[in-house]
Amino acid sequence: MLGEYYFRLSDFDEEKLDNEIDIIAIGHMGCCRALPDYNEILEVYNTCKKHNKKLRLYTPRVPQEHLKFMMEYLQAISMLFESDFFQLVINDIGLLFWMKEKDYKPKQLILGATYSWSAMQNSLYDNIIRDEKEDIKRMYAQVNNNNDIRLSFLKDLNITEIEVPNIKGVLEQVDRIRDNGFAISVFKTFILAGFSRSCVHCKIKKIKASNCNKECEEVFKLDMNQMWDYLTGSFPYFVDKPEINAYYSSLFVHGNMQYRELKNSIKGDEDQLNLMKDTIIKCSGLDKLEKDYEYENKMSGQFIKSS
Amino acid sequence: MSMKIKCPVNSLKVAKTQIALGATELYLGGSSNELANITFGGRGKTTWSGNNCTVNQEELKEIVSYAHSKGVEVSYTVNMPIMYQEIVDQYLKYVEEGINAGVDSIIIGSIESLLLLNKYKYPVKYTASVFTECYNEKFLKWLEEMNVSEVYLPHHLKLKEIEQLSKSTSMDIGVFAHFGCSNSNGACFLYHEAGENINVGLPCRGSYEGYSSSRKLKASNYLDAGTDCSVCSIKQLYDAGVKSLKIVGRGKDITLLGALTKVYKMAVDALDDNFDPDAIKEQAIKLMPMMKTDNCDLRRCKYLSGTPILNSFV
Repeated sequence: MLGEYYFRLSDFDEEKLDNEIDIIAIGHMGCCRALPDYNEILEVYNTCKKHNKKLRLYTPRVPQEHLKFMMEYLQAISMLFESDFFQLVINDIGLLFWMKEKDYKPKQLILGATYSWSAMQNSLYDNIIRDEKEDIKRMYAQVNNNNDIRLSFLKDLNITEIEVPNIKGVLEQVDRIRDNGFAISVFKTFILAGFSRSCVHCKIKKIKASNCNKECEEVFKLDMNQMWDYLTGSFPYFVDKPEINAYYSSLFVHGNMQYRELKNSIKGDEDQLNLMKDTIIKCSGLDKLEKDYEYENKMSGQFIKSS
Repeated sequence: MSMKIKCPVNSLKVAKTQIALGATELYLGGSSNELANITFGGRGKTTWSGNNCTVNQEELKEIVSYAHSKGVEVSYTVNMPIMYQEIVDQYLKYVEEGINAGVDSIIIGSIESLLLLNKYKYPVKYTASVFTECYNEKFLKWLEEMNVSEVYLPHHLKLKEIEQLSKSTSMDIGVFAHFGCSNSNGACFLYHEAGENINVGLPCRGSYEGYSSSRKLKASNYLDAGTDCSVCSIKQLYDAGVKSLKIVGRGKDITLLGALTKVYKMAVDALDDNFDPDAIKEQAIKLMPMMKTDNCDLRRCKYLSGTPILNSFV
């Protein structure tokens, strides 16, 4: 199956729905303030159903302060859980325990990328394993969920599908995930680089997160230009080390979520997935920015204004 | 009235120094012959510059013996962020080496390790590492069911949340006293101190050029969300139910670590003596002048409501 993730709900347009797309994804992996409200979910869900597509809703990690809100939020949309046209992505294990307690069993319950990752997502991967034996190198590439203990735990929490990084070395080793009956989803061109409680958009726009009005709908691209080195510098400890910058560039920030563009050299092949069962998700927000950014570079920066 | 100060060590010499300066618990990781640069203990074997982050089996026994002779407990890191199925036997062997050396607790870092070790019911206390990412009471409750008796909470929980979690459990709650990560530890891929042999500094604190689809932003530390010091908030943390303060830096120089231990010991001791944050801060700066420039002046205070970065917390 193919999916399209709309970071900005307003980009979703029924008139322009792509026939090739089976899944429309909305929501946020890191921030409950950025989630669509009940009416928006219902509207997109009904549109999806009308066009025989599924709605995939991303939900975030939940700090204690927002736990009550998220439980009520899920309760409010629980009538969709039994639908074949609805998929729920969970990024908080505490919420999964609560759903089990409440006997909420969405037909399609997906474990999100914040709980499903490989050390290969880290750009120092090759360096770190430089001296390890071949079998250790291969092992270290695996996604954390390719593990029977973990899969049994996830099955008990009613998970049906697991997001994994779209990396060739990772997809070569998902045998246990498949053998245990889980489907797999990947993001086509990006991997998770990290997430924080702190929202970069709120920082840049100097607003309190509690007053946020979905500021993160505009994605930012970040490229390191100076390394932080406590040992060689003085405050703010920024030093020029161009060789290090490359490790931490092409990062894309969606509020408190950080993604990294997948390098072609490690990107997974489509034939590693079974598209009858598995899912490839495109992120229009990230893909669009990447295109715009390339365009601006080609124009020698004439359209780039310093803030 | 007291809080534990859990300090990192990477040798017997450092252990002796840390105890002399006020550490009330030590933590450390061992190395393993099966692995070259990575370890079972959540850090690389050495730092990029070659400083040890681990101790060998003999030294582990000596440290445990010395610490116990001083009434200090030792915690052993078994918090590899992923416990791979292929090396379960080696992992268990590593865990048992620590237990046989006499450690008092083990620090566990992943769901699969907790599930595995819960079955073995080793005769030590189980501590959940920050890698387990305990953000709310639902997850906390599960940790309790896994026989965990102590948990280190994520860097970015707010004081009120810490208090709520503390009230909802019988487990001991620990927080990081000094230095802090910008990202959530369990799924951050801006790695450092993971066994690499190059200096990448702290990638989240670097300067980044930013671009939107319509403009270029001036370079800044956009990903830096670190808060670094909790000296002034020790009393609030104590009142919130925090039982343990952890100082990070297994591969860091003892000059820095020792100074931090001394500062936090002084602050914790003041809990018994009308804790005055201004006086404590003044004393801390006397002991460690860099605290003023790197923490106070930048308002990088952990847990205090006036800390600017807290405004951006979702």
